[in-house]
Amino acid sequence: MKNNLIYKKQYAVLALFASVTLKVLMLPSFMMADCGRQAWFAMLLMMTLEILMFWVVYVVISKQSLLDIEMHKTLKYIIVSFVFFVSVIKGIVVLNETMDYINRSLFEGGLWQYKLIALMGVVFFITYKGPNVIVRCMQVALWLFVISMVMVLVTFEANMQVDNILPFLPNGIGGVLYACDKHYLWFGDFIPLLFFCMTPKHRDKEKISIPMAFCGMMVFIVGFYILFIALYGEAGVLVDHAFSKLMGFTMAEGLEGILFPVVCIWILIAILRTCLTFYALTEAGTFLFKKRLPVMIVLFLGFTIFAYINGGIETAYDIGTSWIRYIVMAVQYSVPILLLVLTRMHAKKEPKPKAIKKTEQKVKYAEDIQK
Amino acid sequence: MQRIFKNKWLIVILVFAALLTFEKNIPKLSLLNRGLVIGMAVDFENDELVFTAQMVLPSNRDTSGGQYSVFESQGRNIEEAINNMSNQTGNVVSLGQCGVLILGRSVLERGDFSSVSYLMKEERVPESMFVMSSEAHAGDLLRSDVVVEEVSSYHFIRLFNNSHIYLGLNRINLKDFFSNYYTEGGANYLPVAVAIESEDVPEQGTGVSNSSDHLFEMDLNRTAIMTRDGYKTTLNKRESDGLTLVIKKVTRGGLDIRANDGTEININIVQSKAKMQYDLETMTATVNVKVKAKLLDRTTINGIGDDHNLDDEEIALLEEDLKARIMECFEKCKEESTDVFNLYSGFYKKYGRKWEQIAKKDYLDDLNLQVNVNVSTR
Repeated sequence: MKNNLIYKKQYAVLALFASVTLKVLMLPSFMMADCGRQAWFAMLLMMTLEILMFWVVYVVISKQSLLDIEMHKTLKYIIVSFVFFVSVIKGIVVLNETMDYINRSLFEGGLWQYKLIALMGVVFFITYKGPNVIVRCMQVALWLFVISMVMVLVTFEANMQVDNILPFLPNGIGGVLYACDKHYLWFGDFIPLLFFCMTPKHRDKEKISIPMAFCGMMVFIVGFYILFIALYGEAGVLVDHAFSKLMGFTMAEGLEGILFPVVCIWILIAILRTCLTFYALTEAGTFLFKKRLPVMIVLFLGFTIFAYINGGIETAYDIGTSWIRYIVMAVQYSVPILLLVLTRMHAKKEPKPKAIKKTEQKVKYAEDIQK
Repeated sequence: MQRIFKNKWLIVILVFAALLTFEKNIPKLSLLNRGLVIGMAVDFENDELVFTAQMVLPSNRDTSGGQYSVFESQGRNIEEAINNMSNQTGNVVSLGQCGVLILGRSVLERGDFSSVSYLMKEERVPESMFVMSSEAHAGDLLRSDVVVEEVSSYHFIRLFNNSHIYLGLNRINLKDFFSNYYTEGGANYLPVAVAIESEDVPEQGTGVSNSSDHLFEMDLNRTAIMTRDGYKTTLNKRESDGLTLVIKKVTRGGLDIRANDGTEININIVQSKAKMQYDLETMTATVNVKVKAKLLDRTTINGIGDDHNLDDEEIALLEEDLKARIMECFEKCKEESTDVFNLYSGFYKKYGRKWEQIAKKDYLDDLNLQVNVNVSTR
């Protein structure tokens, strides 16, 4: 396994992008189709759950990664198998949505299958290079994103009606819960982070990044949905890629071209988000089938062929909203909680588990290499 | 196998091969094969959709002023019509630079906005594109030569794309058009362009003329009102002013009022802002409009007056006049059972289900509209 140690601030960046990237592309129109202008409240509910899960995963990986936690071998195989299955389903949705976003933002024609091959090549390479590349790229993308968002917000000009979010729950909470349930697959994105482990050296020094990630997720997503509803009202159902559309309202003279760089940065983030899912798949697959590279090749060929034959966002949406989502939901909530319990139990038994020793050895090894 | 993948030259060759495959299979269009649409129009004729586009045709010759042409194609829907135009002209129709969409009267009367819906969903069409309607055939407006030396599409874009919001010019873009379309019980509006023949004679060889013998001035002071069912009515200049005062923040505009003694007062509206209030008990919607106005000139029987301030009597007169414009707009639309100020939506946002239970189909008959206009001259 590649070096999977990350700093606390890197975990914050990973979690932030893992959570928000795909929630601002096609999900706004899907949510609006089912719960109308209450979509912002649905997101508020789901993001609250998301942040709770973010905290659980953080506590787990601050000690050990999923593969390092000591537990019964059979149990570990079962857990990793479920994680593998969930990552396959997530991978289908994430890959198709990213592909659709790239295809419709950058190209005006041509067979999308060729673009898929190009995308898979990039995803394969980044995943092969390992988690550090994904994390570093996301750290770079974060600053590009922050700068471009500031530029967009400063020059944002459009007719908005913030009272579009009213009245609050006129028909009860039923529609909101239905939308949350139907689109669950777009939530609970922290499973790939279970394969990372926090560097023990920096475990307690850095205080601000995790609360900032909490706030960043909540403010960005809920704020984005309120802005979206204020701009479009019920017409939001017609907007396929909300992020691209919202970035288009920069009317300041001479800055019209700002849209394209922002969309490109988000494409970069969406690709890295896809890599994160494939990294989880690769790690789970390697644990189950032992050989990393053959597992990667089979996985990538499998996904490419599946997307080539059955691809398209419609298929991904059908899979994402089918009964399979309940299995995904069960795994995404139960696995981190189970791991949390296991790590706590283990910590009580042994004050200094072997796995931490292993981790410390890895840190020492990494530092030696750097020297 | 690991070693094979660590071979950098193999990776370089693989990337090169992938790029070659990519290069060969993604169509690359020369700029010369593109028809950059700057304005488009949609009409219906005999159940067929007629799509008219004003295009810039890039040329490899050094031509001053550019080459603009108007093309027309037909189809069962707008997508088919656009494809037909690409086939007919040999240029791929590119809508990314389009700044204005004109809907013909036939589109409004049929209430068929599927073409606009298609454009809204199309990724490459800018949502800031202005939407307007024409009194008759929309395609004819694109073919008209306008008095200023520019093509009609640019002329419309220039009139709409202004940092000021003019009194009576109810501009709207694609995003807002659809936002209004989906508002509960609400009405939508579009500025109506009417071509008025000018006495000026067109200059030839400017690259913008459609070689007609006449030049036209575009009057945009009327506003078409429609609901999801289709076209309802057209507001005249005064009624359009009333609509602008309620739904927009006016930053520029002139109007003339006549005092009781026959004095003509020419006033400049510097700023206006409206706020709506809703009261379910009295079933009353109140519009509070604050206006900043400035006297431009006053023409009395004895000539131009030298006083440059509006007196209290004139302010009261102006307030009455603006109130009358708003009420005229409301009453005209009410006759067509059209809720032009989106009162249903306003009550719904404030009272939710309570309002839904009370509101009848003809709720406008039960509602009172109260208009308060407050004019200041500072």
